[in-house]
Amino acid sequence: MSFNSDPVSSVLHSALDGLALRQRVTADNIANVDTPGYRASSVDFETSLRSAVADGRGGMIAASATATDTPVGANDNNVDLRKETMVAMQSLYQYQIMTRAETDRMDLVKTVATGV
Amino acid sequence: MGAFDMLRIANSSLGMHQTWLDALADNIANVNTVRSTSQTAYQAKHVMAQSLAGGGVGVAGIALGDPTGRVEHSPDHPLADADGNVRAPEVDMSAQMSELIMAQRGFQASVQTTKTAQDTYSSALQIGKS
Repeated sequence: MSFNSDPVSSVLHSALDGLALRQRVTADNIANVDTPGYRASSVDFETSLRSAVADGRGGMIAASATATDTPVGANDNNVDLRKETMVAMQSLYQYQIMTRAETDRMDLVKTVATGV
Repeated sequence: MGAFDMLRIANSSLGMHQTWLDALADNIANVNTVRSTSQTAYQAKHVMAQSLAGGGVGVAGIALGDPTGRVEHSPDHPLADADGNVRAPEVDMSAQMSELIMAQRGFQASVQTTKTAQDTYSSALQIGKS
């Protein structure tokens, strides 16, 4: 088993992929805040990631965006700018936490390889 | 409690204060909205805040003010009735302006809470780093 295809790395990579998708979808929602008829999308990768880990299937999952059905306002548009801004902020920190976890893991591998 | 509760709670407060500010803007905009006496007056909107079980604040509802308003004698007004009366809204302008400042300060405080949350999360990411 190589050091970047084990379950921990898979989970980290899936989480990073899911968060990256969420950031892209959030950017899309914010860009369309005034587009008539636009429906905001959201990304939930945590649920499938949790069950993938629980089932022992490893951490590889494919995240996808789903359209929301929250009430529409003027313009037949349901983007909640405040919520999207919060999601963007939270995703940023979650991404930083995941990259930090990845970095710390790489440091371990480096320690093993160099013996220092 | 989630990992990002400080952010979520500050955001709920921003939402409630935004609704409050919207209601106040509507009240102030309609302070001179006169109607005929056969109609009800513009009813001032009063936002009712409510703390949430998991932390944060929400809007419990919007109470409406007195539909009777004030009957004013204005015989030259196009909407005046046979007695020369029209119906003006019962909106207390000084109360609305005071509330406007309170709502604005509350909103600003929540923006500051959001900034503090960001700094906190950034600091947490530095734990253990040399």
